[in-house]
Amino acid sequence: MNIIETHNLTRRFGRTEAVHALDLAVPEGSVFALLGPNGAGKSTTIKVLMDLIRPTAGDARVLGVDSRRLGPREREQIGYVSENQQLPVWMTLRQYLDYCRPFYPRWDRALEQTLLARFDLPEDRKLAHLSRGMLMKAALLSSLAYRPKLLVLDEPFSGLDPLVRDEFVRGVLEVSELGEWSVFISSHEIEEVERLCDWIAVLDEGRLQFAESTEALLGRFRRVEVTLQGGAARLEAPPAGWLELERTGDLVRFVATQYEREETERACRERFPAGTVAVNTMTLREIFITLARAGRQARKGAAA
Amino acid sequence: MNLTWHIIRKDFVRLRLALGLWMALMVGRFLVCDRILRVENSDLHALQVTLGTLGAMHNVLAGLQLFLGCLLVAALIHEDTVVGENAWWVTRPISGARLLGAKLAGLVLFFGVLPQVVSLPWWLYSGFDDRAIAGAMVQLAYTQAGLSLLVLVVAVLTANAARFLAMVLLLVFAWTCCFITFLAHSPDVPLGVTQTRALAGVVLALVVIALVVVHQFLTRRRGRSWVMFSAGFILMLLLANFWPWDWLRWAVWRGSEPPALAQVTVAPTGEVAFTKVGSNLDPSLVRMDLELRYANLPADYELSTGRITGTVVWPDGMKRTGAGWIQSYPTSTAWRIMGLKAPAGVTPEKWREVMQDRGDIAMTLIPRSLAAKLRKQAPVLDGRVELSAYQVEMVADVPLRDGARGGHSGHHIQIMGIERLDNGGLILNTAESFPILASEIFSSAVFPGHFVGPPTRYVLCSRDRTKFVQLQSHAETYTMTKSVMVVRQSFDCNARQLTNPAEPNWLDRAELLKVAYWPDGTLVRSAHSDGLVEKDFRPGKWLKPEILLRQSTNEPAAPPPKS
Repeated sequence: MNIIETHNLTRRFGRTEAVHALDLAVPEGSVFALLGPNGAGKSTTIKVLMDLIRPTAGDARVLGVDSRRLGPREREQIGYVSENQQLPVWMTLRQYLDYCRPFYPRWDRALEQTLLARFDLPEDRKLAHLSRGMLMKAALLSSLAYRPKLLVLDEPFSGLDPLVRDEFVRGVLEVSELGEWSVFISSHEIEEVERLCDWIAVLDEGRLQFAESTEALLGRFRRVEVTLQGGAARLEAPPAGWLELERTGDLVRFVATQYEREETERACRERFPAGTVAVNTMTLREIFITLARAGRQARKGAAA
Repeated sequence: MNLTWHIIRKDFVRLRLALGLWMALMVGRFLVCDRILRVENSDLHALQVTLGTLGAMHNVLAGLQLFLGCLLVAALIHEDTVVGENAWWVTRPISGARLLGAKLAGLVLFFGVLPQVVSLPWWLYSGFDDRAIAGAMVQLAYTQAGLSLLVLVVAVLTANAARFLAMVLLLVFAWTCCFITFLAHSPDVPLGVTQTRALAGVVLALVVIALVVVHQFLTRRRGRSWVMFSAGFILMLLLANFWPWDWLRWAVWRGSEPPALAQVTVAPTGEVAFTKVGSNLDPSLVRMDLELRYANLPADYELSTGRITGTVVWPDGMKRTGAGWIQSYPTSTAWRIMGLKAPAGVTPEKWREVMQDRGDIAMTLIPRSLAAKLRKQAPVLDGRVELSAYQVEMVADVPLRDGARGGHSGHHIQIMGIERLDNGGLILNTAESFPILASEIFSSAVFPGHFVGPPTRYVLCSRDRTKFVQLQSHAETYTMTKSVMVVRQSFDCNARQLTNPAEPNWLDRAELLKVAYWPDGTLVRSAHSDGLVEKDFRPGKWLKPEILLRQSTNEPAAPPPKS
C-alpha cells in the first residue's frame, strides 16, 4: 500500500508551472526523499500534499484520502515539520508541548520525555529564544510524540550547522526504530538524505526525473573510466545510458546510468577495443549532480 | 468543546497583557471621569483649565482604547492566521470550523463580556439602576459587536498587524473617496429611502462579513474571499448611493401592530395642525418638534438663520408663544419650535378631556414674514414634515446653591458656581453626568467627543413649584468627557423675566430642574404643495423608537441631599 500517491499532479503559479504532471507513489513504511535543486518544485509538492495549496490539475492522496479532504482525523496521523512553519514562539517549549498534546489522542508522554532527553532541549525556554537547530528539533519532537503514521519533513536541514544536522538525522533514525511510520523528506542536502532514505525521487523544474529505491539507484549508477592503450576510440553517438562522456588524453570517462557489468563491458569493448575498463561506485551526491548537469544540457540543447 | 476551550485559553494567555492594558485604559477613563466630578475650585478660570486638561486626558485614553481594541481583535485572529501557507494550526488536527468557533467565542468573552464585567462596578458607583445598567450593557455590547465585526473581516484577510493596518487605511481611503464622489452627484433623497439604504447597507454588510469570515476559515482561499469582500464593498457603495425605493414604509404598513394614526394639515397661512389618535402620552409632558424641510424653494425666497417665535394654539383656545429657531440646510430649510410647555392651569386630566373632545393641537410655526410672502406668491413646494414627540422626565432637582448636588436615574448635577451679573444675568456652572453617555464610555467604537443621548433642558422653579422658567442660555461653553459634561451657561435674567420686582429674591429659594426628553415617536410625511391651498396628508403610522429607553413619570424627583 502507498501512503502517498499523486496522479498527474500539476500546480501553476500564473504562467509558471511549479509541478508538472507528477506521478508519485510512496510505499508505506519507507523513508522517501524528494530531491531536487532549488526551485525544482519540492516544497510546492509537499504543500499540495498537506493541503496548504490546491493543485491546478491532477490529485494527490495522503493516507488514502484526497489531499483536499484532509481533516482532523487524518492530521492526527501526520507529522509535519517545515523550515517555514510559524510556530507559537511566544510559548516556552513546555507550554508548546502542553498546547499540542490535547489535539492528539495518541500522544505518548513517555516518548515525549525520551525525545526531550535525546534532543537535549530546554523546556523552560521560549521558542523565540531557541537556536534554529533547537527550534527544528522542537518542531520534530512535537510532530513525533503522537507517533504519526506519516512524517513529512520539508527542507528540515536548511540553515542547520553540520553538528545539528547530524543530531537531527540521528534523531529521526533512532525514533524511526521506535515505531512503524513512513517519512517523506524534501531536501537538497544529499548527504543527510543518503543516510536516512530508502527511496529517492528527483524533481527538476517540476518534472519527475525518476523515483526508485536508494539501493537500486546506487546499484545502477557507475562512474566508468577507460584507459586507452593506443587503439581506436569511438566517442560519437554514445548509448542512451551514458552521461558526461569525455576524453582527457588516454582516459575516457562517463557515467553509466543503467550499469550492468556484462553489458557495460561489452559496449566498452566495441568502442574502445584496446582499452582497460575501471568501474567505480558513485555517491548519491555525485549521481544527483550528474543528473542535474545532464538535465541542464538537455534543456540548453532543446532551447537551441 | 474541550479543544475549543483549549484554543480560547491559549489565546487568553497570549493576549492577557494587552487585554490588561486595554482594561487599564478603561479604568483610567473611569478615574478621570470621577476626578472631573470631584473637581472643586472657586476660581472659574482655573476650574475650566483643570476640566479641560482632564477632558483632554479622557479623550486621549479613549483614543488609545479604541486603537488598542482594534489591534487586539486583529491579534486574536492573527494568532492563528487563516491567510498564507505557513500557519501552524493548518497542519494540525484543528478544523477551520473549530478554530472559527474558538475565535468567535474568544471575541465574545474578551471584547463582549470582559468590558461589561469591568464596567459594572463603575455603573453601580455612578448610581445606575437596573434599567440603566441593562441599557448600558446592551449599548456596550452593540458597539463592541460592531467594532469587532468590522475588524474581524479585515483581520481574516490579512496575515499580520502591519498588513492589517495598511489594509484598514486603504479601505477607509477608498470608502471615503467613493462616498465623496457619489455624494457630490447624489440628489436630495427622501428620508425613507435614506433609512432604507442605511438598513439595507447594514444587513448587506453583516451578510458579507459573515460570508467572508466563514469562507476564509473553512477554505483559506483568500482570492475568493477578496472577490466576495470586494463585491460586497462595491454593492454597498451602489446601495448607499443609488437605492431608489422606500421599503421601510412598505414594511411599516405591513406590520402586525395596528398603527396609531396621525393626521397632519398644513394651511396656506403656514399653520400646521395635527391630530394624534390613540396616544397614551401625557400632554402636559409632551414636547413637540415640528420640522418642515423644503426642497426647490424659489430663488427669490430667502430664509435667514436665527431665532423665531411660534404660537401654539392650545386645545382650550389659549395661545402661547414659544421660542424656536430657523435653520438653513444645504438642500433644504427647516423650522423648529422647541420647548413648549403646557399652560398653567391645564392639568393632565383636563387635557385628556379636551383631547378626547377635540383631538387636535394647532401650532403656528412658519415665521410671519415668510407666511406673508407665501400669501403673495404661491410656490410649488416639495418638502417633508417631521413631527416628533418626546416624553419628559425630570432627572435632577437641586437647590440653586453653590455646591448643591443631586439627581436620579443615572443623572447627576453638581452646581459648581453661580455668578450674578450686574446686568441681571446669571451664569451657572455645573458638572453633570449622563446615564446613556456613561454607558458609551466603555465602548471602544465611539470616537472621543461623540455625543449621543436624550435632549435635556433646564428649568428654574420656585420651591413651592408655582413658578417655572425654562432657561435658555445665550452663551455656553462645556467640556464633555462622554459621561460627564461640565457646562458654563449664561442666562439673561431680564429677558427671561427671572427677576421679579414683586419678589426680587425668589432666585435664592429657587431650584434647578433638569428635564430629559425621551423620544416617543416620530411622524414623517413627504409634503407637496402646488399652491396655497389647504393640504391634507395621508394618515401614517406613528413610528415608535426601537428602544423606549425610559418610561415617563409624573412624579417629582426625590429631593436631593442637602449639602
